[in-house]
Amino acid sequence: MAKKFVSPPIDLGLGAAGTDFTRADIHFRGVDHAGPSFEARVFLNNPEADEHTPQTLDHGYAGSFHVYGYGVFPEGPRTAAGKPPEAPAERYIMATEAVRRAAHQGKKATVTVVPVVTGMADGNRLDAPLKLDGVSIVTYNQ
Amino acid sequence: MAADKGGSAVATSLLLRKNVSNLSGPELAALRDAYAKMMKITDNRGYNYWSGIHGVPQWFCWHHGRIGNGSNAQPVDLFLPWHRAYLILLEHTMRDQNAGAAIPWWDWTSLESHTIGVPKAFADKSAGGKPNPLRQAHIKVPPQFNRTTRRFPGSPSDLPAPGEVQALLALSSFSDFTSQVQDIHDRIHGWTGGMGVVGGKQVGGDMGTISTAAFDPIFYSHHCMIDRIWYLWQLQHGQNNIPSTYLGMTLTPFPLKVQDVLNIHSLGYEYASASAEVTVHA
Amino acid sequence: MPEPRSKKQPKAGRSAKSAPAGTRTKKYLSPQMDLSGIQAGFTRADLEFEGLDHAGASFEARVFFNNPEASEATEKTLAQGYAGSFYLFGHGGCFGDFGHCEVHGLPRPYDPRPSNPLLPIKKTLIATEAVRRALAQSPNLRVTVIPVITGMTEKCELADVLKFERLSIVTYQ
Repeated sequence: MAKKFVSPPIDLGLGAAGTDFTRADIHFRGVDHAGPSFEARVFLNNPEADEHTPQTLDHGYAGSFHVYGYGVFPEGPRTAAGKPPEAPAERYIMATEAVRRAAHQGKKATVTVVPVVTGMADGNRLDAPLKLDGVSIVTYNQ
Repeated sequence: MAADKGGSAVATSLLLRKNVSNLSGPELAALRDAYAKMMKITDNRGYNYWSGIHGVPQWFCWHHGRIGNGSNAQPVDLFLPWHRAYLILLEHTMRDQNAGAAIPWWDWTSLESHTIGVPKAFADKSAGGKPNPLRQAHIKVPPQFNRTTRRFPGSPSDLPAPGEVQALLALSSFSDFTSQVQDIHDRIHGWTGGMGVVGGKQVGGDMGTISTAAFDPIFYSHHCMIDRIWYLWQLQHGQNNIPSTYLGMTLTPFPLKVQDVLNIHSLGYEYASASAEVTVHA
Repeated sequence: MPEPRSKKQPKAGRSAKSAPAGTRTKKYLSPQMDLSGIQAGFTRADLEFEGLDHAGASFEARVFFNNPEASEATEKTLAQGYAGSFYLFGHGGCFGDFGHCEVHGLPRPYDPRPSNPLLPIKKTLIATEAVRRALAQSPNLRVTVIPVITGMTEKCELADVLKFERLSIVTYQ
């Protein structure tokens, strides 16, 4: 099973508006696309989630984003000698109801990302496809 | 409505791109013929050359957004216009081989797709007594690739539902729309390519990664569906609804800028699901 | 560029008849061109070669006035009627599959691709002094063009590299 990501508790920072936001997104910074392709299943307040966890709100499922990886990475400036290639990208999911449910549970939430590999090129490592720099939860009031 | 009058200098009608499941026998035969002929050509009119523009070996495709260069160091995402340009140039190259060919779209939300998965047009092993050129192609990119494409599609029930496309169409900002449509696009690539076992070794299907996806003939019909969804979104939210900073950007390596590909009618095609034409003789 | 005031051209011509022995590729010899209609006092005179084929070998095209015997060995001097040269950078023959180098008719409607790179081209040779000098001697002019091959591949036909549709002499006041 591919290694998952579990964030530390993230302060939802809802302020006076509370849980009346109209939209909530979960942003993922620096998601690497250099290697295999995978579905990234996102759960809130369920650090034990894995690829068998049902994708339902009751289990904290917030949604998925999909990484369409390069597989074979083109040679160029990003393939510095001795280092594996990296292709970071910004991704986000719209997770309004899941974040609202988590907000009702407390002021902070953990984000768990479970990668499920869907595509690969020869030579790709599948044990740790998910690399990212950070995660944040953003709410909007319109 | 798909009337290619060969060398006529007067445009009489737009090329109609159809759902692959709605192609008539002759239309499907023309498409297969065009692909088969392109696959036999080794120069810059050939299938291997055109597929090689996307990932290996030329790597021109736009995916996932990038940071602009120089003084334009802000996120830029040309995924939609780049692939629109790619399709139209490829389609003209196909029509050089068979003037009756047009790229059809694959509706992966349809009941048929949710029943059988990959459409028959792409799944059948043979057609007309010959190998089906829409099922697989040969990747020849030395030194790494000299084999036939492979595909291990997932379960049909895992394909997106129609409501997911409706949700995309409801998004009003271009940056939201392009991000979310790319996610559904990425998901289909993973679904179609999949993972399998060849010679006792786990391998990925070619649609599953950027490097070789464009060698699988179904790639173009998948992107035709994505292009169509963009067109439907443009009808609701504005044809020119795209950051103005993108307009003058060149869609390398194609001789087109973003502003040139916003109006599909100016590119000579249409996605009407049903249409009728009356010809008036002068 | 100022407006042309006069233009003289022979009938549409192709390469000349068979070349003298020893010449590797055919030269071109125009019919007599009547330049009596050209107004005096022109500030510039061009030879325009239209519909030039550039699919094959590369060559220098040496242009001589009133010297039908000119050949590759002829000195490039005024005394020999040398008017100047243009240089053609050829594509070097066809390297694609069958049909790759065919030039078809009008492009398909809406086709955004650039035009076929093998469409015939136009070359302009500025030959003001040479035309002025030739006119001072006679109102009639014969143009000889000697192609001297400068680049080739094994796919090039070398017997007849100089092919064009039209030659004009254009003067500007």
